[in-house]
Amino acid sequence: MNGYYEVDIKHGGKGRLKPATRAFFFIILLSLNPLYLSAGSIDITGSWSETINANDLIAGAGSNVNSTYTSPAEQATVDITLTSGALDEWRVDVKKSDSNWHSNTQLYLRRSSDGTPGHIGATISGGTSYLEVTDIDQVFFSGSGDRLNVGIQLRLTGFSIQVAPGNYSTTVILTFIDT
Amino acid sequence: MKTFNTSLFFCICFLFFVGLASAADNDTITVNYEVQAINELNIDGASVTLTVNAATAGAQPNQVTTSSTYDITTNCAADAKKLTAAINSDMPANVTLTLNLTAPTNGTSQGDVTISSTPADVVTAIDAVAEANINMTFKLDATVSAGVVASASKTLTLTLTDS
Repeated sequence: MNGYYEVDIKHGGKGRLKPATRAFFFIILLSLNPLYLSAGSIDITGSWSETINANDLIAGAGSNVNSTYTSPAEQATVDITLTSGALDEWRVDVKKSDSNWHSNTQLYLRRSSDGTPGHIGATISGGTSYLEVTDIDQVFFSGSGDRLNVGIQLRLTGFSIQVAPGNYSTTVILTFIDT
Repeated sequence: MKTFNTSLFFCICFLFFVGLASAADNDTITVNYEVQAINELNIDGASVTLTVNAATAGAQPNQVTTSSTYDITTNCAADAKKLTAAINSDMPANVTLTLNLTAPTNGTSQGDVTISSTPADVVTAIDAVAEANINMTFKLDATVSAGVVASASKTLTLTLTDS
């Protein structure tokens, strides 16, 4: 009888699952692994609207409008959450998608604050100098772990009286990438 | 069984790395700006004085001239604006006030224009422009038929308006 049970343990028996069933449950378990699920998330609070009118003339009639407009330092804030911990490294890319944009004007942004770490040992770096936002993704800043209330400052340049009256809009897209 | 396990291993690896590769999320910031119509005009110098007081014997009194400058900023479309000039009341009989405005870049000066209480075009086809200290010349003529005219004051109004 002892020999019978030894064979049963090695090759499976009534109490063992078939390989395909085991694989199924393994994949389910893998998908529920917090490390696998915690790809991280980015949430932005804030937007920016600027109005340019005669009050923006540098020196009244005969002069041009100011060429540059800068938002308050923390016009928008970014939260990076749902990372798996302080060692979970990520980066944030940035690009824009124009609805109606004057080709003379450019949009820049920069990271104006480090925010606060959501994990002990979480890091953040880069992005503190103004970066021109284009239609193509560029690395904005990077870090590890959760990070809350990262300040974003925006800047518009290229204005002159050659920019025709109208409403212009673009959507800045920040993409969190778990690296 | 060995083949199955190998396939299973690669399948799991594939799913794992696909999962990692798709570990991206995004959010957006909307940036809007509005450029409002800007139409600003300024005449430099509060006043000019023209006095007709000399003549060459046998000719009408000499024309007198003086100059000032003006400043203009507009973000209008091409040829969309013009400048008109008018004074608050007509000049006395046989006395003529003429105004000649140099046009800003790409505008068109109408040259010497007789000014009255009815607005007259002095510069047309104005584009978006920001220029200061553009010359404007005043000329005053009086024929002998005007006689002696007492000193008087006129208020000149330059208007930047749609073409």
